[in-house]
Amino acid sequence: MFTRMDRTTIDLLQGTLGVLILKSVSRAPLHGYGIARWIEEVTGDEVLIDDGSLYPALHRLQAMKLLTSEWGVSESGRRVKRYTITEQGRAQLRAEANRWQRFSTAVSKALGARG
Amino acid sequence: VTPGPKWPAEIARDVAEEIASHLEERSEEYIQRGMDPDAARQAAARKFGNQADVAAACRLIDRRFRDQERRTGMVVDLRQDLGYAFRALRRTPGFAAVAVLTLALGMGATTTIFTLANWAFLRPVPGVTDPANVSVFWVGRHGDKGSFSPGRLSYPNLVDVVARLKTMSLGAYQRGGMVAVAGGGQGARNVSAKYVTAGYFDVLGVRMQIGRPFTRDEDTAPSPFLGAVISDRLWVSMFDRDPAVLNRPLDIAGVRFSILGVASPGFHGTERLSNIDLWLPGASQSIVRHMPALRYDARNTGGYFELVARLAPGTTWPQAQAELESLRAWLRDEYPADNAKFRTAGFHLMGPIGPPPFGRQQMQQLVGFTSGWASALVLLIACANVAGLLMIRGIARRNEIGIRKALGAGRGRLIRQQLVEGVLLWLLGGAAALTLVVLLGQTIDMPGLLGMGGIAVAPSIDWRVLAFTALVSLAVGALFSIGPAVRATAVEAADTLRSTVPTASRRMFVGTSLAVFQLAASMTLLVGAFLLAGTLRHLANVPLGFDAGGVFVFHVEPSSIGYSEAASLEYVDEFQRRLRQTAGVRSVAAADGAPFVGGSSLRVRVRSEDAALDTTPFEASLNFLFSPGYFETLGIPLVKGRTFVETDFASARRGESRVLVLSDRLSRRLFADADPIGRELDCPARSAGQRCQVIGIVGAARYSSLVGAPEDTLFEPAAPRRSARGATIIVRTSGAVALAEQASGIAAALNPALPLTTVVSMEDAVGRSRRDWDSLARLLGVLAALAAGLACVGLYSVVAHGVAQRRREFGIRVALGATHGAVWRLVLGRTATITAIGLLVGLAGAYAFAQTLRARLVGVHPFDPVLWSLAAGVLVAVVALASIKPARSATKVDVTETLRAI
Repeated sequence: MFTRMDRTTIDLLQGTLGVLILKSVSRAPLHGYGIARWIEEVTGDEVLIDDGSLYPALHRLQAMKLLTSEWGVSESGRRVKRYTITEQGRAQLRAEANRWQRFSTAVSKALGARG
Repeated sequence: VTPGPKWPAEIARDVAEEIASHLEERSEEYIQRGMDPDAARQAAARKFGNQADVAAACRLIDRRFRDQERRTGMVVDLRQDLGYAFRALRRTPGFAAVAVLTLALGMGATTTIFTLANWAFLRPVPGVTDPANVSVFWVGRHGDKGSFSPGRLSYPNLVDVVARLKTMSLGAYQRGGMVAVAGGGQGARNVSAKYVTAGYFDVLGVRMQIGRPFTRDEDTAPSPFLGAVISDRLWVSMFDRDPAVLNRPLDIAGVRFSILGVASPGFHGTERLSNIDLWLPGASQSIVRHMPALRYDARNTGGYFELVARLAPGTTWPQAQAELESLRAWLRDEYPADNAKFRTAGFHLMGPIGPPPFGRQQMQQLVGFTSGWASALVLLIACANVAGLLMIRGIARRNEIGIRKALGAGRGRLIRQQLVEGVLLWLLGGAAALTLVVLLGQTIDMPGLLGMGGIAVAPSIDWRVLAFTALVSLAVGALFSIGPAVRATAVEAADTLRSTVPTASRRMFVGTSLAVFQLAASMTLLVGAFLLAGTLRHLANVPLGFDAGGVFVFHVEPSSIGYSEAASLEYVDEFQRRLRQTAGVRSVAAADGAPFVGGSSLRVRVRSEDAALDTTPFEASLNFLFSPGYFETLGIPLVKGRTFVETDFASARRGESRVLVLSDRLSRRLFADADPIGRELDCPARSAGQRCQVIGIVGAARYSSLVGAPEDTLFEPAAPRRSARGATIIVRTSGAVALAEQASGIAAALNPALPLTTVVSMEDAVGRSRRDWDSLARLLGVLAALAAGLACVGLYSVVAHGVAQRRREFGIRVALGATHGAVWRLVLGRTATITAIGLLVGLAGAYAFAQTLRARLVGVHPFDPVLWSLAAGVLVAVVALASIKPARSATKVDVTETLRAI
């Protein structure tokens, strides 16, 4: 299932995992599994990550006070820990999105240029 | 947001649950997609990755997060608590003021005592660099009871010691004394001087502000080098800090010196309380003091050198002492003929400089010990007061605390808040105490008040004092506010909401025990103060054997500026003649000393020749008189025979006197009841075989101590060479005479270069011998008064609070017909119980205290029933004072209001 290529992709994306997480909870609070599913859906399974790698990222974002967490009950009646974005988190997300936009434009330009 | 997990176990559980929940949900998803449950679970686990690693990473992050939160939380909480505490204190300014003032008094007492102790015992010797590595040492012999008698050290030996010592560098000095100094256009004044060797300042690390110290050559020059180093204080007072003071003339005992240098500020010698203002080269002693010049070549004779030594880096005092020991053996073996004394004598290192090497250490220690404990008791009383106030305030704030609890405030947080409030009070009290001490130090001569006056600089607040006060504030503050804090927060939210406050009997118990403690501590201090006051009263009434009233004394020393003996005696005679012509002077006499002002009465050995009596020799003191009228002037009664007349003095000056006057005590020891007049005995302090005749017997007078029996004294007209140390002139006056001015006037007219010592009244001189008791009594008196006053305030708040709590009860009793008398009895009955217990406990404390003081009590039994009753009486009065107002308020409870409230 995992190829060498896949691995590289994931590694590359590690840094951006934080941004993806912040984006995922920017509409409404989500728990870890919900965030994983959101990433799968919006990226069309393009971004393949270990589910496990999500959690250290989540806890780190919480320690950075970009997220807060709270135990609650999901629609299916399961006890889950939901993460909510903080004001600080939103500001961070805006800044990161902006930077990503400029970066990807620049890379696209470079790659689109005639060699 | 609910607070996150706190404990490592909670964090682990939290992380595990989060992961488990994720895996379950993922498996369910796979099952829904059609996998069978086992395969789904495996696929979910595979998709998740290494669970153990993930869990470990999450736990680590969470734990760090929690620690960080806790730290910032604490700072935030403390800031909040402080703000809350300030607001709470501002809301109740009366309470805050009383508490801070009480604590200021309590801590002011301990801080003052500590400031004095620091000044006398703890602070480094001022002006000396790194004094912990400097020691004074002596050559001499050790006695049996740990005593040490200093001996002479010859200059060649000193040079050898200096050259051979590896562990220490050395300087030396010789005790000087008061010398008359004139300079800077000012008249002569007496100044403490020391004769020092060249290395002295170097070893002590004392810098010269300007100029230089003497060199080795100047120090030992054959014709003495006349250069002087002066203290900063003398520079200021005599030369107004004139920077051009170097090489200016300074007349020392009539000899012209020039100023070489000014020592760094604060330096006044090698002891904390020493008072030296002038340092002169050793060789100049031969000129200034008319002492035979020290022989720089003779090994078998020398001077009383006191050595100062600085440890070489990396060596220890025991190593230095060991080296001195081997040096002593070397000196003994190398020069066996000249250094025979080193068979028994040795070097004695006194250890790091600071306390006076010989002196009144025991009394100082007792004063230090007693005042330390006494001030600690006062502090505890003050703290108990404030703890009581906090407790009462805690009760008053039950509602507020209950509501906060109901709103979800944790008890730990509430306790912390109360604690911060308490410690804040104590810190404010400490700050107020320091202010008080500084203000008192500026307005009151604290050491003088305690009989430690006449010393270089006043005690000052240094970092030790600041640290002491801060530490005491924090420690005692925390200790005394934790109880009230725990108590105040032991409120059930439900109680508050029901608004039924249960009567708190334990609360009353704590308040009562605080009051008992305060009374007991006050009792202890009061008994101590009364015992010392009793001792002072006894000492004031001890018969002196002479009449001190209206007698003034001063000392002149014409030989110090080079008068010959004949000229000196002429000067003393002329001085007396002029004084006799002064209005208000009744009689004048001159002698080699006078009672209670020191002088040079000679210790001699006498022995009875009466076979029927004990014939072993014993010590007596011999006083030389310079003129008739000594006994009349002092008011010592003549018991039998006659006193000396002019012809006795005339023959004495020719060296032919053979007459003695004895005190009647001595006469009885020598001759029992037989008539002593005309009897002969060996002349004291003269070569054997010379016989002297007793011509008169006078009453026994005290000469130095108010304790024990009066000394055995003999009197003799002064023979030649007895006036070398000058004369003490004794004057009896009638009425108010400004004798000091008259005497200085005569002195200035006779010879302006020769100053008098201060003119002292005999009553002051006798009073000075009570100084130790006086300072201890004053100290204890002030502390006991403070203790009793604070206990009064404390008791008042306990009684008043008790009355307030029982208001309803009193109201009902009055409504049911209780008389005012009955209510009074109710209130006072409880107070009486507290007082009785307090006094009982206080008796035990006072017993222990009296035992400590026992050795210092004179003419008073440590368990003197009258003094103890007086102390108890004072305390009962304090209790009465404290309970009158609350008791009266109990009788004035409004009955209708009470009944309506039921």
